[in-house]
Amino acid sequence: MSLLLFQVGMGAAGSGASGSLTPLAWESWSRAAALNASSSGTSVLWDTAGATSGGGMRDGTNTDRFNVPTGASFAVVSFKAQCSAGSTGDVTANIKVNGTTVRTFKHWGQYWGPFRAEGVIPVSSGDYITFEVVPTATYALYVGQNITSCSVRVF
Amino acid sequence: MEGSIISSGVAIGWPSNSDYLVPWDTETKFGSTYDFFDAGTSTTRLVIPTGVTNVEIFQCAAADGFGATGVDSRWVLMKNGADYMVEQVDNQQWAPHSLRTGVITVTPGDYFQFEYRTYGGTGDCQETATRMVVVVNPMSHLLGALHAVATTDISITGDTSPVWGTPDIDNLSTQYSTTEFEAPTDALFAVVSSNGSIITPSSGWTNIKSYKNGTVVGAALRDNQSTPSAGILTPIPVTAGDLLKVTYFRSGATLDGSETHINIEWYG
Repeated sequence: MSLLLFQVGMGAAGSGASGSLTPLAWESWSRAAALNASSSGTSVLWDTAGATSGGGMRDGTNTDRFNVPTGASFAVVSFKAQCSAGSTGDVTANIKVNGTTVRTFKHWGQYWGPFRAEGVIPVSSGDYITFEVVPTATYALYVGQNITSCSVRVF
Repeated sequence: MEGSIISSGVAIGWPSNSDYLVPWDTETKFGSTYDFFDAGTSTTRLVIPTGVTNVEIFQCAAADGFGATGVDSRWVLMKNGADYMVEQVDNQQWAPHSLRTGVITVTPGDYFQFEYRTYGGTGDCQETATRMVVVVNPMSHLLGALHAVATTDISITGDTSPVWGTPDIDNLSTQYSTTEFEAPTDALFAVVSSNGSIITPSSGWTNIKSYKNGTVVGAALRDNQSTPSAGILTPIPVTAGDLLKVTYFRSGATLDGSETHINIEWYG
């Protein structure tokens, strides 16, 4: 087995390109405690913080919400969740802003998933972001091991 | 912008009913002097070097050749020998897989591995899609971002590019045409993601591909179900002027324009 090593690009370690954007905040969260997702739609409640900088976005009362800070114009978000094995069913994963779906990923005819949703979404100060799972029947979400997790970066 | 792509130059044969740590043989650096891979120490480990405290890791693969009935599989990102992120895919002939960790804190010596666990038949991995990517300090290197939605429903004939409308986010003016986007000056790395929904779902397979300058750089295959929605996630090095696009293929289907999106993050 050979080792090939070469370099692409002009930057040097420790350097950053001019004009790079500084995030207002970024947070990663996962779900550790048991949680059922119902057919009426369940907004995932986040209980375990990962890496965080300039935090405070996740709402302390409504723990499914990420509150967008002042000055933001867009967010880079990713979300993944899975249901425990059961009968074959359909699941939709949604990214929502202020309760309105802005991205939807429909997964039909699977036991588990994964159910991913991600994207670059426009936001503004005062908005809140949530992540929803909508199965055809009530399923338990897999939790732990970052199986149900999200990342929110706001610029 | 600093990081590396750890990949394999040979097709990987997935074993049946077993756990398999994927071996790598190549490290491709972008804007970095950090070494994340040393085949002389371990062919399966991406190791965090001294001086690195924050990273985002991508893990991408797609398997082929599982036969008509499909298999159940798990695709596991392991940290220091323990499961860290897990995706499970059920009853798939082709098992698309890609995940991103988001920004995570690490310490020198931490190591990450990609383990494939299957509960059924064997298969081969697609070389172009299988890799681990590590980006150092990603929160400090985003130059800009793009988001656009398809303007109309599109009847798919072969690999078909959605026709994108005017982006609602494109702070670097990177839209080159209604189907392609151009890497801006200083860009060294891009993350392309796209998802689309089929208007009338039916059993069959969906294939999404991502391209750089007309060459396929990523693929996402989903099969053996009536899934009306599928997505692709491709981290790829770029230089100024490179043109990126995505295509969709699903025999006889029509994409719902209002539910078909493209996102590009430009890093430099």
